[in-house]
Amino acid sequence: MPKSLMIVDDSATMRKIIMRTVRMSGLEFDRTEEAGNGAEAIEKLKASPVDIVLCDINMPEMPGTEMVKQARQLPNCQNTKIIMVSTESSQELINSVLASGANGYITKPFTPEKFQEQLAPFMS
Amino acid sequence: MEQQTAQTIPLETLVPQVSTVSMQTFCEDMDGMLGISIGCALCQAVPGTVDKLKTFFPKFAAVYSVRAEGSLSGRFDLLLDKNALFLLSGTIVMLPADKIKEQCKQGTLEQALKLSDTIKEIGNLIVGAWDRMFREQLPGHQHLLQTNTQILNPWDKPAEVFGFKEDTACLLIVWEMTVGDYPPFHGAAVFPAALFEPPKEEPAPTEAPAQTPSESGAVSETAPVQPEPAASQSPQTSEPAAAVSASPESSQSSASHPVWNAIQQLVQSNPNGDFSSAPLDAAVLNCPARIFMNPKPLWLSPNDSVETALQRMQQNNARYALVEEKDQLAGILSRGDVNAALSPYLRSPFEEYRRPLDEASLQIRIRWFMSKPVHTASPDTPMWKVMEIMCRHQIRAVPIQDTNGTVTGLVTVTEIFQTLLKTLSGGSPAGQPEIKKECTKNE
Repeated sequence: MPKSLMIVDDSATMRKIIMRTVRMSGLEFDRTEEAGNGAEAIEKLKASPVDIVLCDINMPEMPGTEMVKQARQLPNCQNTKIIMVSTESSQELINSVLASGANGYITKPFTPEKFQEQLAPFMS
Repeated sequence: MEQQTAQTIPLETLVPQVSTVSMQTFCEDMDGMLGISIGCALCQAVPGTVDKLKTFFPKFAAVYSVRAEGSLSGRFDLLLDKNALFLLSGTIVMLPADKIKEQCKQGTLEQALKLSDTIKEIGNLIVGAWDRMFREQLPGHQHLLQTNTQILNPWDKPAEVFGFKEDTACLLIVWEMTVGDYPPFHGAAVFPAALFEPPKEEPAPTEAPAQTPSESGAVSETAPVQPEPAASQSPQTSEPAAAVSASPESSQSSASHPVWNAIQQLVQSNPNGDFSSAPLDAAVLNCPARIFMNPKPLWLSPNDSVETALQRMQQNNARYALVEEKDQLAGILSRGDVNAALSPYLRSPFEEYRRPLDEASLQIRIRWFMSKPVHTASPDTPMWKVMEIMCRHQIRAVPIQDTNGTVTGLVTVTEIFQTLLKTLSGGSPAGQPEIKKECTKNE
């Protein structure tokens, strides 16, 4: 079944790194999108929802958790799987991220194996 | 074998080790995320001013400012050289190998600035790796935060780039790193020496003799030959006046130890500190330091390596060495200090786990972990007073310094115990008449 992916990160380099690592994981997407901030991501999701979003937590203007909350308000994003990405790994942060509506959490440094483990269940 | 834990190793010693592990972790992260296999070897970890890095960073570089909170509190900087910038950035954005090699050779500052987003992200990855390792391996560490990224020639205005004067003493750590057959590149860390200074403590109210820091940084504790009133002598009422090494084996250790307890009990056995009226056996405690000190202690230079210190101490059968710099007493070193600086993997039980990095710990300069300031006593200081200094500061060695600042000897707990055994037990007549005579003088 074709799948689509959006990567949300304020760093273009990190978006490239994530994209590259996802490819290395062996997961295949028929469509990939990028957004440089939360607002841009919301606009793109409104226009064309995706199956999976990988979203940085620490972004200027709109933090990742806020983006998740707004995405959950969108009628066409109710089934979108949102995985947060961050260097922070405290349980408190993970709990707050999951409470905001995210489906999972990946800590940096990530590896292709980590992406495989987290994303594969949503690919079927 | 002396047990050493991370908590007992001075920060100055621990930071080069943890930094190297952290840089290697960054390399592993890059490998894990991007499949870039980076080799990382420690080139040097030396004290000096930042201009010493010019050799390794002759052109422009990335300077990442990092704010540390916790055991290290303040700013330090991480550097990547020109080759690193083009090589790592080029690999991340998947440039062809030929293009990367060409940029390493001929890339300009303007071209590097166009890669600033990627270069900044590389800094984030480095600081992220460092933060993880510091949390694991540096006691008291709280947080590292990348605060600024500069891509420039750091030698144009170094004071502005690093945020301190050019002659500021720093710990400089340099690594050579390699990726496949690309040209090797250098990474470095610049830790201002002030980062390692212990937090300033309010001086404890005490009636003990005043401590006057000398030009060498030594804290002199000259005492009158005559015992003082009781209030100034109780170790329980005196608190350590200077921050000292945390190692229990340290010559200037603050940790509790049975030896201190034994000495404390001995001093406390006469709470008035007046041994002049005690029997002759106890009166030996009035014996001046010049009588029982070791007049020929081992001397080392602060730039001597751990390896040299270990060899000299073994050759001289010395457990303590005094450190001299510019004709001044600059510090004191114990065998425990040296052992703490050594990687545990250099010891035979862990030989099979030894890495090249472990060998590097032999080259650490002793200035980075010697104990300072040094608590000293005068040649006329009586034994009980030397013992009291040891108790108060929980140290086991006190250099003897005359009024001109010349160090004339060293008293360690060994000298004290030997003298006590000779006289208190009457086991050896050698030296006893002289001690008896000196003690009688003080009555």
